[in-house]
Amino acid sequence: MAIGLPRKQESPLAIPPEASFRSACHVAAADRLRVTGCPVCKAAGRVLSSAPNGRRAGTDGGRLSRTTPRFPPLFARQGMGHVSSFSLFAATVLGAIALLMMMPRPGGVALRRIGAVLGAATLGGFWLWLARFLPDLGANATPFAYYYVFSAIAIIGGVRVITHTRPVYSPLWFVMVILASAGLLLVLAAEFIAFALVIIYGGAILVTYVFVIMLASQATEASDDSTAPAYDRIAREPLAATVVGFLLLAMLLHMATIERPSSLERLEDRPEARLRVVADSDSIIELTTLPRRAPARVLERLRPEDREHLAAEFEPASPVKPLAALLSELGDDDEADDGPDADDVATDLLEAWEEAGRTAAEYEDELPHTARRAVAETLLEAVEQRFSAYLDRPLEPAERARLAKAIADHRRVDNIERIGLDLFEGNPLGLELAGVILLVALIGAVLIARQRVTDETGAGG
Amino acid sequence: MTGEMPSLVLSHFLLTGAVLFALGLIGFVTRRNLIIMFLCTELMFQGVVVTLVAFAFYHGNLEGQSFVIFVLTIAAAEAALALALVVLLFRRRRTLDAAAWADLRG
Repeated sequence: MAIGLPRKQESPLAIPPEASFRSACHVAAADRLRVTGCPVCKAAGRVLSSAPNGRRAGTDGGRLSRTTPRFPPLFARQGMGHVSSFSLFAATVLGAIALLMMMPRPGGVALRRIGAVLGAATLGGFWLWLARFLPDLGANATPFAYYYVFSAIAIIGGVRVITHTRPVYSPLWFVMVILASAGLLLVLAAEFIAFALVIIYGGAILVTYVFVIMLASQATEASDDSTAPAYDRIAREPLAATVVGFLLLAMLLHMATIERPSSLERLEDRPEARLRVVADSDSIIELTTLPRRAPARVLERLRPEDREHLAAEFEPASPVKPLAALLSELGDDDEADDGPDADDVATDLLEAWEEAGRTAAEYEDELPHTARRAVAETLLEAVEQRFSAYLDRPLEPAERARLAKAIADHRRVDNIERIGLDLFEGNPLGLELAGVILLVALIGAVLIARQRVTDETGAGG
Repeated sequence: MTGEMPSLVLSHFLLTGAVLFALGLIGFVTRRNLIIMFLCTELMFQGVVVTLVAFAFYHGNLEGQSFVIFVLTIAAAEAALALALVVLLFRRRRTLDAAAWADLRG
């Protein structure tokens, strides 16, 4: 059932209600649509075809049911179209009320407790509601569970930072926020930033804060909040601030949950372009270190006719070209003629490459690093085998080293190295400027702090 | 790191970043303690950091992470200067209440 396009206003009922978000999105991906609104959840899903004639746009019911997605739904669509705006806004409003109740105010302990309970319930309910999608993620759910835990800790810590009446506790709760954020960044594979955050924020900045607070705070009875200064006990304009803040939050959330194609899909929109990039690339390892982007995977998700077409046109060339070039170099002293054998070699190398892809699939449930490493090793091994078979002799150590180097040259360096490279190659000026800023701040802080104030202690201005 | 754990959803991290940012904003407005106000700006920085890294992850490059380095730099410089200023102000008025300096409004 090919539904004609363009249909910018389509009833949500046009999609079978049982059709999962996943299936619809996969169909959409397979049809290479640009979906600007989730067809399932958002009313009047704006399904716009990127193809000018839009002939491929269709949500075939039969296809919906038989599509067996390889990827979890949240993979396919890096958006939260499944999170209806209503739930988001309801959670936002409840959170705003809870935060408002938790704001420091004189004699409102009971109210603040109620607010805390309401806030916790809101957060928990929203998390549970989001977590309905966890089972769909399959093995990928594990890092996502970490997301929920760390995110909840960060949000709770943030709330406590701004609602605690004792200034000393706010930085301590902020340390919780820092640690939880570092956890989030670890989930995002930003190891260096995560640890830098803990060291710089938790270790340096927050210590300074605590130090200054202890230096500058007035004496307070440990057990009695009422002896704290009024400016810590009474919030300023809590209603207006909360309303404005949560309006901003609602807008941000609305923007944040807009559908956007995943990284993978951005490639899949134009698989030809991706494959051409791949074919022109001199880096085969870039392919293997990106197993999920491997053209085979992309091809898998295409329509059969597209797949054949693209496979015929691009696939043999894609992983093989750089290796074949290397091979012809290596085989210079060999009697083998490059011309007639090139196809065989290409086929062989393609097999090796696909083997690496299969290895990646085996490790798909593991941590990506594991899968990556497995792929690289498999590929290196397989390529070595192919090379030696082609040359009809075992590879010499020098050749083996050269091969390994050619592969390793493109291997993924780890996060710290890459950040270092990025900083020093991409932003040397910014780095220098950051250093200058730090120096200026240092001098400025010293200059400010060493001014002697001898007069008017306690004198209001 | 491109393509790594792509099953994680960008929007979720944007959500967390937005919440942290909004909390920092609300705290900055509602708190009257100068130090806590600056602490709330750090909270806003945290939201931005999470957002930047999430986008870096999403786009499969490191520019967001590099930018976080600069955010950290600015945060450190800001903390140093702001806290020095706060100490200075505290020594003048013996209070951390931001309202004590309301006459700066002119």
